[in-house]
Amino acid sequence: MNDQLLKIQNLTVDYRSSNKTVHAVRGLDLNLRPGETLGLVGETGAGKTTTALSILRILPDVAARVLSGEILFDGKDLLTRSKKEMRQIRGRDIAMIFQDPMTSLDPVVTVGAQIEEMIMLHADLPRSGLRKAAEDMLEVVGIKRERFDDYPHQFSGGMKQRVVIAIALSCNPKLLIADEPTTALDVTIQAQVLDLMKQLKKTYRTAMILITHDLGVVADICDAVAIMYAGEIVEYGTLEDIFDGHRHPYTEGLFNSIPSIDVEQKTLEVIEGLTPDPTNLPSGCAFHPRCPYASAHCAEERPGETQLSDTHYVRCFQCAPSKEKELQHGRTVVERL
Amino acid sequence: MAEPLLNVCNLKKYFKTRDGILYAVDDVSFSLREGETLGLVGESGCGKSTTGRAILRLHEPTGGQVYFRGEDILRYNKTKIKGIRRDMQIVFQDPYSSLNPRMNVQQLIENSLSINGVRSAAQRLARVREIMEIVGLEQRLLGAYPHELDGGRRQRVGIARALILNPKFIVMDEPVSALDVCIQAQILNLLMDLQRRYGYAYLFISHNLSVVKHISDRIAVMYLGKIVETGDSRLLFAHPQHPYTKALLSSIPIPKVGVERKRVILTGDVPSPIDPPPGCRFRGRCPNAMPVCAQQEPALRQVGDTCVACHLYDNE
Repeated sequence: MNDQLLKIQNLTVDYRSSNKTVHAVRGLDLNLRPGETLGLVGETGAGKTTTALSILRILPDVAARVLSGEILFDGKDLLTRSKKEMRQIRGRDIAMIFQDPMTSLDPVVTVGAQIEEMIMLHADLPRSGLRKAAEDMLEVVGIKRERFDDYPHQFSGGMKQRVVIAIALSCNPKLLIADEPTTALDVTIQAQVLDLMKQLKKTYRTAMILITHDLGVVADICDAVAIMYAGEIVEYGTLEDIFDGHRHPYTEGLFNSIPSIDVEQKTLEVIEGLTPDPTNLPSGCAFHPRCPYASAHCAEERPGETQLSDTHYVRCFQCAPSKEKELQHGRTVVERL
Repeated sequence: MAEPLLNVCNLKKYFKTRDGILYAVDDVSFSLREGETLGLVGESGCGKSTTGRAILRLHEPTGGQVYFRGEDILRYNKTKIKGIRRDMQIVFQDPYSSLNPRMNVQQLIENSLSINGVRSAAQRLARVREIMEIVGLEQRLLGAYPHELDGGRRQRVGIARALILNPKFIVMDEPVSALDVCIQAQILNLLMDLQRRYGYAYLFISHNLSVVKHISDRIAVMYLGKIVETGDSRLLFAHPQHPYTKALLSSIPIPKVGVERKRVILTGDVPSPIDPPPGCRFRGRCPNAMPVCAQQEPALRQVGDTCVACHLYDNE
């Protein structure tokens, strides 16, 4: 298919230290259409942020190694771009919002100047027009333009996150990566920011990758969902596929772990055990030691992708009709790509 | 009805700051029976943690009374308060910073036993082993240091440390907020199971409403140092009455698709608790604010299923 904005194929990233290798991302495939919002869900250490950093090529140089893969953005591989080209792409074509608005703004520069800087670097605008453009951006995210000359400490957490969003959107990027954008905020403020992001999504038609561990936030804003576990996507589908018809045992466990606000439960059904040590992953399917449905086969072979419908993929032997069929499916998927 | 285990009356905790007096907890009252969980919810800065700490006198309260088994512990002197802390414990939010990194699991857990006069090392070790079993920590971790443990296990150490003296009442200050959902579910199950077995009373402080609803019998909603609504957990979630509670509940992201909800999205942020204006503290963000809200502070009183502090219900 050619209508993909972002197409990641077989991305593998390791972090190395003197005596250990962390397998952070293992053979990840991901597609994103223009204007689509994808929720990337998983627990701490699942490789969500590493994936995002790989797209922007801002992985820590010393430790991280991209071992394989392609990240096609608008048809061209980001991994082969020069540093100079990447600097232009970052901010202009792909922008990122980080988790903590308190630390992603420069405390000694006014918020207005921080927005101006972004516009100055990427947009072809005369110096005289900068201030107005930046003030307009403030208004877009619901901050009065009079606050242009205020410093970050004069804003509350939610307002700071709005400023960060204003900076990210000021060059009208094609892709916005938001890494836990509302995790540090209180619920009522989170509701405000999510509302704003939904509006902006409609107005600007920006494609978005939303990294989060909160399935509630995903349900609110995303079109598609990818569930990550131990560096790979174990299940991928539309919002309906994942929320109403999830098949992977890990996805099931994830949903069961959330206390529901409208159903009475005595105890929560939990996934036993812990996420695996990324330096020493289990053989076969990385989830098999915790999986209630695991068979001997799961410990031996890593499950390939099974296609359940046009939009719904899962990596699990239990979901494959039979092993042979599963292999066939695997092949068709490869052919499709 | 039996006398409540804990009775907090008009608790106040003010802090002096350069800009004026910060009313962190302002006239908060509630009670708690044995084996019961009261959930204390609200946004950051509303005074929930300060309330928990003031009850244990980790912050000296500015005013009010805290009756524990009928005795006002705010009048206890330093030695006496140390004695009562056997029965009143706390589990902190951040399992990463609340454990001394230079002590191993055994030392961390047995510390309070030594402080409370259990002299025999063998007895202490036996008790530590027993409590580790109860909270689900493997015995092989006795000699492990906090940096070797993951977040869930660290929080289990925090819980073990609070439980080892057999307390009656435990303040749970955001005990699962720093944990991933799967680990969070494991810890919640553990806490509820412990309560069933040993009859602990919990004051469960959290900003996560789904978690609070799951674990609490009753809930108190705080806003800027005041309780604005309190009642039975199920009733409060089913029929919230205070405009703030309504907004709070409608802001919870629900992990379901196709749920149509009427959202009350509040404008603005929580104002500063330093010298708050007279009248209702929520009125600046309240969609139903009336002139009377600026003049008179609403009192907490029974309206229908819950107790509410709001002028909307003045005529009921």
